Amino acid sequence: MSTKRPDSFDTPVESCPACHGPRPEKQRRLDSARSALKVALVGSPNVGKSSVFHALTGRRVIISNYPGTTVDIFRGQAIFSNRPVEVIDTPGMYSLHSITEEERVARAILLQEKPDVVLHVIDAKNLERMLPMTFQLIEAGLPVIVVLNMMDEAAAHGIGINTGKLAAELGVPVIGTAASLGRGITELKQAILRYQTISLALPIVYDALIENAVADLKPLVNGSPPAERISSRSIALLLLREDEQIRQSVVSEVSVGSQIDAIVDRARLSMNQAPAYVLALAQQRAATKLAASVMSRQASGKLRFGERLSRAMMHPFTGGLILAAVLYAMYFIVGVFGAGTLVGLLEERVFGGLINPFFQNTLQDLIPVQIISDLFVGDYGIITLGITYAIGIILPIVSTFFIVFSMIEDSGYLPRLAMLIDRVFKFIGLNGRAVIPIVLGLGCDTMATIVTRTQETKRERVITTLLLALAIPCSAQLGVIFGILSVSSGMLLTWLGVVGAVFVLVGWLASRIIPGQRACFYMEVPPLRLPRLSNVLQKTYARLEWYLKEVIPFFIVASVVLWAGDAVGLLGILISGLTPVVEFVGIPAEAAVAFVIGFFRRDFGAAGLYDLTAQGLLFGNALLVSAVVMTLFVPCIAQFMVMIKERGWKTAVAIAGFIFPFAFLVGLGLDRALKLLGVNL
Amino acid sequence: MNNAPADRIKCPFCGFEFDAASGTAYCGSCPMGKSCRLVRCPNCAYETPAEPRLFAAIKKLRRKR
Repeated sequence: MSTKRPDSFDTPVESCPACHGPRPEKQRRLDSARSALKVALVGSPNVGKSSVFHALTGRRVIISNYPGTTVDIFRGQAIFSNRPVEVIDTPGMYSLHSITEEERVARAILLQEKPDVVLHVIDAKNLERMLPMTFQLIEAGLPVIVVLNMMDEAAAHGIGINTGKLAAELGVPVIGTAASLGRGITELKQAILRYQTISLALPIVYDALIENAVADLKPLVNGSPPAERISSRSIALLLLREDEQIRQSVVSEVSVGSQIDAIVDRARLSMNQAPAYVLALAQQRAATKLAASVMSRQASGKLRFGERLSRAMMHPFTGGLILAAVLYAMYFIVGVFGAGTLVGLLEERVFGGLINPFFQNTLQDLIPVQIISDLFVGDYGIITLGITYAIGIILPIVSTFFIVFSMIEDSGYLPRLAMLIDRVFKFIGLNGRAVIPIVLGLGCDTMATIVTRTQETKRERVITTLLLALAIPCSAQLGVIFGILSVSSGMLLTWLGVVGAVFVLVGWLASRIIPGQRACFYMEVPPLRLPRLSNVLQKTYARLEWYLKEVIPFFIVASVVLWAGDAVGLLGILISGLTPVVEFVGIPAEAAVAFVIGFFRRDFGAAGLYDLTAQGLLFGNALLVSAVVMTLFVPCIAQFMVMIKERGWKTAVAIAGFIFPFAFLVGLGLDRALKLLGVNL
Repeated sequence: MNNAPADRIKCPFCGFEFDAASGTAYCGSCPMGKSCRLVRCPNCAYETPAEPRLFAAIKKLRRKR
């Protein structure tokens, strides 16, 4: 921690001529009496900002859209010792360098609304991870008060924080609170009212290459709009982080765009890593050092287990083992119980033994024209195919899958899985922000493809879209694949290994072929907790309700399209075109139908494979190869439409054009490798 | 301007708290948008099911009693 009184630290808030000007104290008091004091709360998500906000404002709250955005912000009015105060609760932000729309709004509030006091709300339990943003706010010269919230939870975790020492080191007031209990709020109100000026501590001195670039940039950005509110040092650092919004704001007002770009380019080329990464690393190191000097820990046995488990989930080795255990549990519950017991009951006994024979007998008598009766009870009939697949096969499998998934979700495992995957991503040279759409893809790839727009560059968006379309099965498909492979855990592990290897290999190759830089991945990890039965049931019910509303009409429409295709002979042409390909990779010809209907929806195709397995037509090596090819197979229609909309038709067609032969090529390689090794599953 | 208190949802992925009304910002491009009852976290875009009407009705009934 290198704290010093800077000679170069510019634009102190209280003496900024553009926004405040040096005002005599008497004048300041008069101003204060007339206008409300404006206070903005900033901080990462999940730190209790809303609790602090409500503790300060009570119920006098107005919710409104921030102009020009879809983001809601909360404003509250309060009176502190006869002084009117306006409090603004900003959306969560991890850094002054904004990426998401919410972060841009939070920063815009700091820059445009010019709050008199900025409360940086921190989760006291995670001080080390949150200090980098404190450094940025202080570097920016903003009038910061650090609010160490959740001090009660920190104490329960055996964590003590020397707030006096932290305040002295940072040079800004630090107030400990437990806002949900109302503790520390009186002290916080007093600190807000007493706030006069910041002490201008410079939290970090970066290495020479950064400092030289900052020194070159500062004179160029002095007259720009952001310099009215934040220090030119902070603007220079944001330019080095390649913050496009700040760059545009600076360049639009001052005619030195090319000079700024030249300095930023020079700094980037002179470093081994991207300046954003170098800055993040320096800030994190300083945060670790400072946190260690002000924190004390007295861990209890219970806490240590939870923390150890959390860390183990994110560690590459133990995290991999835990992931394997989670997948095995899922395989047992979804594959063995859901796809075995429940599907056996519904599909074979209820549909196969009762419903389908009843409708077949009744409708064939009622409708003498076979082509019409086939629409309902034929090979591609609405009842015998659409409803049977939706209710008899998919429903029991997704029900058990949704129960397990809701438990995983409520336990807090998913963000830890994202952190684990982030390590793999870094290893293969991908951007960590791709973690979120990839994890989302395990729910629905269509939605996840839309979410790729949160990534920073076109390159990252294309790679993530490709990986989603290729190697990430959606929830329903995943459930059915578990069901198909429930005959052998060896099959499931081989499937996982092959799909995982394809994911890593294609991601690695794509990131090497498409040029660009890596970016950092920041995410707050909420605490681990035991899932509540009522929450799990509610979520499962809600997902099933949504799924049935979506899937049943879709399966009925798909059945009608397949029936019509069959009637005019188009389906036969497609199947006979695909049959030699399917047979060449070692899959029985009957499975060609499943791949054709897989174009409509991934889980529809997987359910087709399940049907063949249940009929005893698909087993052993061919079953495993089919499951791998079906997982890698072209995206469903909905995902393909979104790919066209998000990436353009050329990219979407190129991705689908690559995936189709590649999926069969992988299947062929797997089939030949199994034969070569003499493996018969 | 909306003065009514919004239903707050806590994202099961990142822990971000948001009101249900702001959880549909990403839905415009999705072909499933209209029939889907999932809400998206504005912070990380993770999707979570909205509270089913049945559960909301039961809660309302319990509150009245």
